[in-house]
Amino acid sequence: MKHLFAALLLSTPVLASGAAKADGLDAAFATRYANPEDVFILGDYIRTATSQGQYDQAISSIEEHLVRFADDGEARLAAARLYANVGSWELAKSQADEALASGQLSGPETAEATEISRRAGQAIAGFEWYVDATVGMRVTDINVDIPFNSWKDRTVTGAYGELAGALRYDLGTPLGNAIVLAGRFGVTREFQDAFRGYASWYGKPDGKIVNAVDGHASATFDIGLPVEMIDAARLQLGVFTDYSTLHPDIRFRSVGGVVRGVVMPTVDTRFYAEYSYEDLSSSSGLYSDHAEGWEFGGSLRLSQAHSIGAAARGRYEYAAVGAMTGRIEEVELSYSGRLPYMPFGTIWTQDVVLAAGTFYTVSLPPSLPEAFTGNHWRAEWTHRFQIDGHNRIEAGWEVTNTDFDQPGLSGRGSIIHAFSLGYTHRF
Amino acid sequence: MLRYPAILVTALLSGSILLSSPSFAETVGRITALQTSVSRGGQSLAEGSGISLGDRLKSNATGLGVILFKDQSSAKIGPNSSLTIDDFVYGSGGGSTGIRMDRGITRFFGGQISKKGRMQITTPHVVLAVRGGIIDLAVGSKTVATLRAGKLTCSANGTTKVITKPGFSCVADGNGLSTVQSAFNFSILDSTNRVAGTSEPGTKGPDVDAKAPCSGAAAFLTDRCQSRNGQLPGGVERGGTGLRVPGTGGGDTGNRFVTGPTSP
Repeated sequence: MKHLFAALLLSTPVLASGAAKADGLDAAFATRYANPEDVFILGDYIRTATSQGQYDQAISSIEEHLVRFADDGEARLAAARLYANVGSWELAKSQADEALASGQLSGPETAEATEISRRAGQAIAGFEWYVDATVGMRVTDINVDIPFNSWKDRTVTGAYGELAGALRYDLGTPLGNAIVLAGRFGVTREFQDAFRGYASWYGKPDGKIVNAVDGHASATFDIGLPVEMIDAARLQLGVFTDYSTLHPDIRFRSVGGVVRGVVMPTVDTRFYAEYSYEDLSSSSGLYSDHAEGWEFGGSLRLSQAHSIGAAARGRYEYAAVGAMTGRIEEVELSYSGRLPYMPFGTIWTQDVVLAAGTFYTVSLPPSLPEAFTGNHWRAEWTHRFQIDGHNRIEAGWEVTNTDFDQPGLSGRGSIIHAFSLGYTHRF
Repeated sequence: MLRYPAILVTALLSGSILLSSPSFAETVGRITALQTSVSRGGQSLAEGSGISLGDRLKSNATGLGVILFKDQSSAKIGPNSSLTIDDFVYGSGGGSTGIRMDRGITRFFGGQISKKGRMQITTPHVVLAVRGGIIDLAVGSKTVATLRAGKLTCSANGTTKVITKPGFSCVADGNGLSTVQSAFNFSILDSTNRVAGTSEPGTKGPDVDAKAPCSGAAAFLTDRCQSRNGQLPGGVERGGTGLRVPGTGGGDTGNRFVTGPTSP
């Protein structure tokens, strides 16, 4: 863990204080205020404001430039980008169209303006959508201590492909009520090597290649609430279904519903709470018949580029007769940020998650079901490199540690490392 | 052919008396861009002119001007407009802005005050509160306020409407208040007709370098570059919490967790 924390600290040198950020913007503004006609100073202020997510200020500066120089196609494209960032699609489209009409754009700029205009046109019509196609590979290393102080290790190496998408249909209300449909389907083909150790005693197979599929679909009714004193509040009602094959004899199938409340006291703060219920009765190979879950948390945006969050969540699974078959509760701290470096021109973002909690599960040894109780911690570190408006690369590392006891045998544990590397194209 | 919005014609015909600014008033901003004529107390302003509390500004039929306030907010005043700076208090913790607009069209861009304090715009028909964003405002025989970004709250005659969806407008005519989509064409503020109110072409001028990590092609679909303030795009991305009770790490479940036949 020591190395993990050291790496995390090294990875986030850009967590400058909010005050320092504000000073940078204030200084750029002071110069701009004193020199309103200097286009270089204006550009510096626009870049600073944009980097800090102060899009309204950046847009106003570009629009000021357009008062002086209405025939500047590149400035119009810059305005279109920023209007798109704030979801002001009508203005994004008008500026993108005007930029195209200027005839001043380069080839890539023309393609970008065309794309903004197309997306904005769809959004104005009420539709926003995306489809992501991802291919990649995962390597999972599993270490479990078996009784009598012996460890068994195995590695699962696999390639995966995934299609994921979402469609947001705006219902044409002042509060942006919408229906959101989302779905994902993935196929993994992986090689599972044999456990090292005395695995056959537990009926473990030798190494083999297996295929696994998983999918998810959901529909959400996203409702804006007419609050005045705070920035925003929304209520989200959703239904979902999950499917995954975990083992030739195990099929996870669920159908459920979730209700979620989201409150944003300011543009920089967000709190949420949700409750979900899942019916698992159509699954095969599981003890559980249904499950309940809850989660609440919040996030604070330190700047446009960096935010931190905290959450607590729990999940409880029950057999058909009502007996609890599983329980997990955990708390989580998270960081999400965009780094100032742009390797090979990409936008580099990263997410860091640290979670810890307790669990209880009924598992099946060769003989009778046994109850395990224990605690766990998890660390996730995900990097995304956005190449352009359509392509990105994602690399992730996740480590999960459990310490658990079973009747008559205490002090056991496991540690699982999972590495992934994927390439995604967005249509 | 250039067409003037009817609401502007009404505003032009109604006229108004201009008040000069108190000479002792504090400077709260300055004119940073001008096109044809924006005046104060009958005197035309020049780029760089200071704007003070109590100033009443008026643009002519082809006038377009930008006021940049000290909290980094700004107002792009369109043709035939008249507005008064009633209140401006700005400190590190926020502050307040109060602007009265009697006629014409103007695009207001939020600054620090609109994010941390109170930004209020009053017209003869409605009181508007702007939170962290951009609004277009047209005032004539009625008021049309269109949200472009952030959040807009409209209050009139004891009725309040909240808008978080860009493109929606609140419309007030002294008798009622309603919300509709795209109630007014503000394109004259986009400078897309070149020199506002005329058919004169604009100039290209020197390039402004606006490139930043979130203003390039890759930013368009990057979540961390998008800021929709009050409008959350989210749906149910995962089933409930997405949490799984951990197995004990063995069996054929790989890195997936499930309650059930995992192996010790």
